[in-house]
Amino acid sequence: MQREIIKENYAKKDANRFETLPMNSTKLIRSKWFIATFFFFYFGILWGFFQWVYKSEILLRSLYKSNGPPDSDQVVMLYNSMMKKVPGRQDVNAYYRLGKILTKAEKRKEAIKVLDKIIKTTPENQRIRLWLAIELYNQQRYREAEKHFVILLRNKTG
Amino acid sequence: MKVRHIPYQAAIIITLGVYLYYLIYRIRYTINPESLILSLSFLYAEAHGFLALFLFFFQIWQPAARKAPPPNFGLSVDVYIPTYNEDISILRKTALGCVNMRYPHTTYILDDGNRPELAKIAESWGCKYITRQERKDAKAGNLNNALRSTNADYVVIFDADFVPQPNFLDKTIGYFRDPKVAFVQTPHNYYNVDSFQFRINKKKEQFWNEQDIFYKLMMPCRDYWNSTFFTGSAAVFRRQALEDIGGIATGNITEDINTTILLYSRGWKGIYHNEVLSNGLAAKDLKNYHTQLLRWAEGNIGLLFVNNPLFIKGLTFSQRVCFFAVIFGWLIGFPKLIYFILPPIMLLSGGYPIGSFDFCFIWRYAMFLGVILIGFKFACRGYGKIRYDESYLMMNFFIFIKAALKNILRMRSVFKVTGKGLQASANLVEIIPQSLVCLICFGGIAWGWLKLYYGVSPDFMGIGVAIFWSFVNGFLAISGIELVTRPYFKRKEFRFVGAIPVRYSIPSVSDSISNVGVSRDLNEHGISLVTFSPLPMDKKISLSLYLNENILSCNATALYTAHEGNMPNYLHNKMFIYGLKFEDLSRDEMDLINRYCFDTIIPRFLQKFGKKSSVFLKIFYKFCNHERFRKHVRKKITIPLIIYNNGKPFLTAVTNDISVVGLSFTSYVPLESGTILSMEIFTPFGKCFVEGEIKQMREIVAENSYFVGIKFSHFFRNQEYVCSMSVRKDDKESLERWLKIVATGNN
Repeated sequence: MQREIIKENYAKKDANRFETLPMNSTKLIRSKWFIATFFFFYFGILWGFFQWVYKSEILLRSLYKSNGPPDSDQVVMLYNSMMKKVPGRQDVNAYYRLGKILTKAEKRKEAIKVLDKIIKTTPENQRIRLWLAIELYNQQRYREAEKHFVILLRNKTG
Repeated sequence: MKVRHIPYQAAIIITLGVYLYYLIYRIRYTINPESLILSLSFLYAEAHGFLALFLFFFQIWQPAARKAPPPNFGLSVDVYIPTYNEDISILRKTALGCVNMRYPHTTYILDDGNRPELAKIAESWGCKYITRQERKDAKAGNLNNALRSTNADYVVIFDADFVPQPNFLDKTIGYFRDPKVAFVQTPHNYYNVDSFQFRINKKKEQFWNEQDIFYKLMMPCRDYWNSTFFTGSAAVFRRQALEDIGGIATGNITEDINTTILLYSRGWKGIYHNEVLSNGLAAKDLKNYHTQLLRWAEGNIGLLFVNNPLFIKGLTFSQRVCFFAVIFGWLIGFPKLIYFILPPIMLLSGGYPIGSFDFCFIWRYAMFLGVILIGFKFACRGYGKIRYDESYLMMNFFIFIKAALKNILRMRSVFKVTGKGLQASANLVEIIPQSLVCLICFGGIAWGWLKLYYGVSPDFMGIGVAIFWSFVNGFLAISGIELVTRPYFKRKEFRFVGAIPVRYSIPSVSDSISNVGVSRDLNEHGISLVTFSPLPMDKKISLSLYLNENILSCNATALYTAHEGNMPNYLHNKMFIYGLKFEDLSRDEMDLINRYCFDTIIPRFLQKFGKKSSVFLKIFYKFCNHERFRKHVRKKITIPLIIYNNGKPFLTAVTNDISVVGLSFTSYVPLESGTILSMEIFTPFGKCFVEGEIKQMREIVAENSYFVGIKFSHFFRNQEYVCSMSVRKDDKESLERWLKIVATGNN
């Protein structure tokens, strides 16, 4: 008797369950497929936009990481685009990398301009100042190099 | 000052001290001139937070100690139920609850909806009916109209969905012995715990309601400063005081707080009696909830232009601070918006509100954050749930901003009645702000990660902090959206969560024997029943519900049975869960169920789930709890038992917990400690007959529920042996075997 009732119940159960709701906007935004598709496109667009906004920084990274000599045209393009901007403190690392790439590409005059720009943003940066001073010295611009060596020595003794 | 409040007050002072130190450090050393707008916005948000926290802590400094004085009899009392368009089934429960209050009174239904059918039916409920032609000044106007039409010395106000307990007036009217008392306010408790405002954890027996901190902590503490206020319902007024200020205040959509300020300005006193004496319906969905919230926020901020508590004559300093705190509290939308969107903006723009994320700042920030979180949690005495509070702010910050802007732009406010009807699907328009926050936060996280990956920014610390906070905010937004868009396989009317014993039989089956089960939830339309034998679907089932001293016999049909998967393996074909719909209940029988639900189930539920203790006390109790030292662990299993007296059934009850050596249950009648009881316990594996001694008996709900702890002394094989007192080990072993396999509880 007990088993019969249980069997009968399971047969009837599904028919008596609450009605499932039709697809509506609420149900749609909870759907796994909708969420996955939406975020796939959202992050895709975001990634594309990032590539466009930070075009020069991404190029800078690839040039900085490559072992061989950098492509001269790309370096000039990068140099021109970055020199138009006024760097903030958070951009110092990018300009430092640009300086390294320019040095590697034997464009030392341009590298000096970049280092000069960094020093204007972060005058307390001793490492960059020393590098700038050495580059100026190598370019036989002794008076300008002297100024930076004096500051470095003053800071060291002070 | 009471000594037990000193630790909380010390926590308040330390927290505010650390916050102030951090704020001074921020102003002196961390302003970033390169991103001045971001920097100043963040500083404003933190300074706003400091003032808000100071005002909040001022309000929860110390609760007033109150004990209800005995009622003074012979006073004339009128009970007002203002209504506009609420469903008559909701109004019926309120009206009957009001009529059933023990203290002599007259109940009036104040119908602004001017419904002739309500006029007819009100009389049958024992209420008088008052209506008016024009709906001027909304609820305030409706109440003032009733004040002019009636003449009792004391007036009780209940919203249309608030059902009082029979002792409501007995507990509150005594306070009016003091001739300066203008009103007595009681807490608002909401019984539909499936509402958006609740988070319920049945396993831990805890629930959180976003208004608990206000009604259980802030209001008693405001009472200490004589700054408690009328919250629109569940309050008793002295007519003389209302007449002194020209009736319920109009000119603002939050008539309650406006009236209170006027009363205090005239030197009257307010009382907060911190005991749940009535139960109402919380707004069921986000749309209605936002309607309600917008009205409160708009009205309260509007007080700055109507009866500004800072400048109105006659208030004490503490009253000015407390009422300004209420207004200021609604302005939290702006700083919250800054907190929510600033981290992703940092990541997207590269501009930082902090000069530099160096070690000096980070350790101070970590200390500040730690102290604020711990201090807030401790000072809230168990009512502050930071995660839920933040989630609540995430879901509502936009409403607060809207209310503030409407006031700033001096837009006209309209009194909108909060809907209490059927739960509707979440309206996606309501979650647009949260969706935007979610998108901007996760977009910011992706942006920040890409910046680190491509070496665009070397600032791991700054970006890391911004990613962390963006994730926290994004998580809050997404969990809020997830909550309000959940599929709602819910009933039209809420079922009260409570276990009552139910005897059932199947009349259509000839060899059916009567058995006993336990309810999981119940209302006037149906019951969820746990049984130890199967019930047929769509066939008539006879039920006897044990509602305290009343036994309600009725018929029901099983419409739903729980999936096999919901049940642990060892209980397959041993225990069954059914959803049953009552058949042809008379109105009186429905009222009996309703009365039981409101007067017994809710107080017991609050007693069980509503305990709040500080997180530190919880840890202490966990280690010192005597349950830890029991040789046989008591398991929280609700199974029916019948208690015999001289061989006859005397009481049918449900266990709270059980072990092989004892059990506890809740009785509606007091029993004497030391009494020996004979009991028949129903388990999924058959009946057990036991005899035990009452070791513990205490009142848990006044005049209604008593906790009884029993220690078993004898087990019997069957009913005949109950009187013969012979000892059998078999039954003890079978109970022991069952208790070993049961995990934590059956329902």
